[in-house]
Amino acid sequence: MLKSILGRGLAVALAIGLGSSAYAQDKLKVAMITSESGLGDRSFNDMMVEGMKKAEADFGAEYVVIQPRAVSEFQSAIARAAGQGFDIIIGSSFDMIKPMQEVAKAFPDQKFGLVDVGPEPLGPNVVSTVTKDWEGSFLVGWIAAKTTKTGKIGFVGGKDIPIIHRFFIGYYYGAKMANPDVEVFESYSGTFTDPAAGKEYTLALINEGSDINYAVAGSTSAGVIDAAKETNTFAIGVDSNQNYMAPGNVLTSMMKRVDTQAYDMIKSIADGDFKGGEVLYYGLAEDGVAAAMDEYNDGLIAEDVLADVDMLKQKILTGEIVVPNYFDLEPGQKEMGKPPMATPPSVADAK
Amino acid sequence: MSAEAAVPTGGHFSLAGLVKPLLQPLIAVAIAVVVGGLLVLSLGENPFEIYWLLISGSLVGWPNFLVTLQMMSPLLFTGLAVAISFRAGLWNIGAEGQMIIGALFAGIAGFAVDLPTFLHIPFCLAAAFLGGLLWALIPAVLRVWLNVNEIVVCLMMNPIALLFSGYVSTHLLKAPGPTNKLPDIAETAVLPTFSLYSQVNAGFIIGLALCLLFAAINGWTKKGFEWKIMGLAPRFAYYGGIKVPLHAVVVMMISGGIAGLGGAEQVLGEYRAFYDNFSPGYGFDGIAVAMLANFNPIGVVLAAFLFGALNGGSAVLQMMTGLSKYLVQVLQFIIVLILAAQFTWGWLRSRKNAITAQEDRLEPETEES
Amino acid sequence: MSASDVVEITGVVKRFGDFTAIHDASLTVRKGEVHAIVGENGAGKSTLMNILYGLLHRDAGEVKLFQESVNFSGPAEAIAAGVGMVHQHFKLAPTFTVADNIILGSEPMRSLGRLDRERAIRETGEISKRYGLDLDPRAIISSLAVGLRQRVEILKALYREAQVLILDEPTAVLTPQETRELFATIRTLAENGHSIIFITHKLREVLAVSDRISVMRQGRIVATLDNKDVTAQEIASLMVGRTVLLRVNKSKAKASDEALLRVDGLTARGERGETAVDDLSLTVRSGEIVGLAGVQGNGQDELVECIAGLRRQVSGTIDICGRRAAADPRANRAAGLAYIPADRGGVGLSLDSAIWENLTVGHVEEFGRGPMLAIRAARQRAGSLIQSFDIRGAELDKRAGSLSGGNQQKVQVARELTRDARLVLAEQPSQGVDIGAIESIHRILVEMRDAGRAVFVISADLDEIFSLSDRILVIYRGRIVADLLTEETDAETVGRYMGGLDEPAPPDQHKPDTGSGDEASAHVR
Repeated sequence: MLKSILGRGLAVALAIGLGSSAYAQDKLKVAMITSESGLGDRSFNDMMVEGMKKAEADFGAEYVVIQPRAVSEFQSAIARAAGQGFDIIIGSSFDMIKPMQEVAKAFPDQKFGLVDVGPEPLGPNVVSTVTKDWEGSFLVGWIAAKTTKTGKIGFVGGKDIPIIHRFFIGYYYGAKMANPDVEVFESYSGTFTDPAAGKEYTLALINEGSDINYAVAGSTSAGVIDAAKETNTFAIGVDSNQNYMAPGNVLTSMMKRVDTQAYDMIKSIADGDFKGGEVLYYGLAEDGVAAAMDEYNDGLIAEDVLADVDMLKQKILTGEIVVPNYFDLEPGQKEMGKPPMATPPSVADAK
Repeated sequence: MSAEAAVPTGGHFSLAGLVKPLLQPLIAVAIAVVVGGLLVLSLGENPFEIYWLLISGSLVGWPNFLVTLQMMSPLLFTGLAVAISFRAGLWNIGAEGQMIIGALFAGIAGFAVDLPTFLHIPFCLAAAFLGGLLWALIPAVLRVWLNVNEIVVCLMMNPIALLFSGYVSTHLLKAPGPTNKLPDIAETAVLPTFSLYSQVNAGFIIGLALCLLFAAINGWTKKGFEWKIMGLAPRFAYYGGIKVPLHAVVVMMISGGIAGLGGAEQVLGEYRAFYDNFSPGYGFDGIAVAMLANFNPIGVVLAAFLFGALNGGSAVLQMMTGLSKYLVQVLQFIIVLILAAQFTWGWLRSRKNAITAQEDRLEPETEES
Repeated sequence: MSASDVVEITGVVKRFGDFTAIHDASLTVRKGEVHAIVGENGAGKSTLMNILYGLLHRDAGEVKLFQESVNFSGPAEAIAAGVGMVHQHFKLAPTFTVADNIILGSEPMRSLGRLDRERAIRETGEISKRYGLDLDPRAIISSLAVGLRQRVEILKALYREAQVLILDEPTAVLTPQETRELFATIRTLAENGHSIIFITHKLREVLAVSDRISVMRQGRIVATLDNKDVTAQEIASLMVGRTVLLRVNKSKAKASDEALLRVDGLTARGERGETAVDDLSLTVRSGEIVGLAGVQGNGQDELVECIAGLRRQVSGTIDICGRRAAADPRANRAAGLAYIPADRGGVGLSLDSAIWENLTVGHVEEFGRGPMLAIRAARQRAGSLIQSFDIRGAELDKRAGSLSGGNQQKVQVARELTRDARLVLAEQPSQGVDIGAIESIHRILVEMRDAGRAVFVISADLDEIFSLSDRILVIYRGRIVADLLTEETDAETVGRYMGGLDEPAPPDQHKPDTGSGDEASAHVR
């Protein structure tokens, strides 16, 4: 109570403190708040700036990038940007959920956006997105099954937990749909922070004949990629484009397109159809996930496999294909997805 | 410590005594401002405008001012911790690690224990103090009993603290969710904040009070006197009957404890949970703050305020001009660089004097009689 | 000059600030001779040689090498010109091999900047054989005994084709056996046409090995003599000199029987682990001033540090005012010790601290008000000490380092002697102090004695020992070799003991505890 009164009083003072905005009034103005790792992370922050640049090119949107040094600085950074004439303030970190909610409450007229978070709405003036990582995993599973020479592919998860199972299920479904005979190994290193363990687990999979391994394991993934490099097999990166980490040995990366998601938020402002409180889902059809293609994996994937991507996208859009979300599955469920397919043993046998 | 830094005041104040200790840091800041200005100019911006934005973005208006206070809060603790140890001749550059361990202890005490507020906060603070103290005890003991250089040990203890706390917060006690952190602390352990704009909290008051307390200890107590002599001339202090080894351990423990309290300020006041890798280097900034402050606790308040203002103004600068946060970091680095140069120069000079004095002593001594 | 003179130093002057270390020194060294430079510590021997070696720059005078005037800007030039120097403290890389150390700085190279290690080892072996210096070129320095390390230093100079080799106190660290071997080496080198300059203060060694001897005193070369024409006695008197003693006006000592300092069977090691104090015993009683004479490096520093509690002895006991002392300065001070250290910058003062702070250390408890320090009272007392001890140029808040040496010494004296301490340990009390200040410091020490305290003065300056002491102890190689009444002895006698010439001393003069007979004689009126 006291806090919100205080907050409003301070908003006025802030406006005085900052003086008039430096921007012309007719242009679209965006503030992007990076996560604490800031620009140059070769990950979400850098990717999101790409979305900003695209919006700048397409709608003449002006953007500024505010880089807090620590999670504790998120709230003050968002709060001081609020009420400064920005059309939207977009954040790029899961840790911004609470700070953004707080500030959004105090500034009901300010529009906010937050990418790649959970399904819960964050407030009447906040748009948030959920990335359908299972669809992205489906896509790379398809590519892996079409590319493997041994007919065996692997998965290295950080921990044996539901959120990681979601990636595996998508990957499995995609691989089996591409080639029902392909074998998919499932493994969990038990850690998100130990590259050495990642390498260990990956080498074990390679030993069993797997020649493409999908790493969904935080910094443990570095070990998966390292193992691929050492044995001249392939790894698949996750979240952002990790192809650069071992050129020629990272087949592709399951990229969460936070640039598209941020771009769409700005677009909704430009089009005047911003709907606060919405939670938008970004899957393959919405270009919210993608298999990263760049100079580092040029030529590793066959042309006809790449051509499949549009086909898959189309089928997902029409509902012909529905990639199963692990959270919708029941323990012991025998079939999943549309068209239906046998669930992997880890789910099918679970009680 | 250079000659200027050693100008004593004790209970006696004169105008010269007040101005002289300010001279060296002011020169450093002034040079940094000029170099930074040239840098801004080379980027095609108007330096005066940029500096005005920095100042207004950190000082004008309550929200901005409160952000500055938030930014300076951890530096009050780490700066004071470093200043206390450096003044006593102990090169505790491990404030970062001590702060992290203090934060971890506070974070655990904050969620794992159920207590009423008036007990819970002091309990968490005590845990943080203890954590930092224990972490500092290792280099202190190695230094005093095995004569191992504390700089090296402190330097190694920092990443160990980071990795250890990382292990705890990503494995042992990790809270559910994608972020590597401990569970949120209980409401009873929260240090209250005052504003939407800033996480500045009651920890700031604690930090300020500690600085004042240590200013009084340094200036008016036997211990403060002895620590100072110990820092400037350890052999003299030992010969003069000061229990140097004991004091060295005590000072390191206090220093570590205060750094640990800085961690508590972060966890109880700003984050409300222990986050892995939460510090952008407050412990190292503390070294710069302590040097800028000439190891004087009141100076720590001023230097922390300066650094806090730079970082506080930084966000506004980024918002209004699109200049990167690195400009402010460059300014800070220049200040540190110049301080280090001044420090090294003073050290080399005093070393040279000492060598000459020694030659005098070895060679021409008896001839005067 | 004759053509055989390889080094000719004429009228060289060296000043350190206001202080003149070398006055108008002249010296010639011939080809193929062993030339000893002797003198007390501080006479300027090393300073003069450092000038020849390019480490120090002369302020006046000329240095000629092989008939040519030279002015080296650093040792590198001196080495190139054929001068080598082996310092008291070796400058070797302990983890490298002998050959590596010898070639370091003038490495034999193969094409493309590659180190020719084979050649280094071969050449090292060759020169070590040529000069009869038996050394394994592949041995690691840290595995070698001190005497062998010294050979490496000598070989290093010879490898650089040094014609003039300066050895600074080469025997200080050697055993008698190693010393004999070194002397053989020196003779071989001289026979091969090298000129050896040998710095020492040990007369026996001088007579054993040198061809000519130059005696330095107070920055001057007072004589250059042929070995065959001179006796140890003559060298000793030249070294010590016959300067007019500054006699302090003092009455006869009224020593009581109360021993305020009793050292019994003390053995202590020096920095390099050598036995510096060797089963030493002595007693200083209330009401007397005892002077400890000796050439520096004979264990005085270690003895003093043990008494002050700054060094832990190996064996033996120390009693201060009847209390058993430990390696704890705090406890020893509480027992009644006041200590005026020679090392003012390191031990006795904090040069970067204010004068009032320097005057307050050691008195903190007097001004303690609970945990607080009564700064006003401490400053008041400091102010009155500045007045009563006439510390010139002192202000409460000025840095102690801003004072002149003499006034720094007065700060120490004022602080130490205003403590309620019955034993005063004064180490080099007049070192670096001007004459006026010496007198007042000496007067204070005599007053202390007359007030019934025991004063123990350690000094390398015989004048000071004679002017202050009632009784003189001479220390040589960590033992007390003489216990003499000042009025019954003279500088020559003491000088001989200092040089170790009367060794072994008569048993009654160096037995552990000064016997009652000695004490009786000390009290003959």
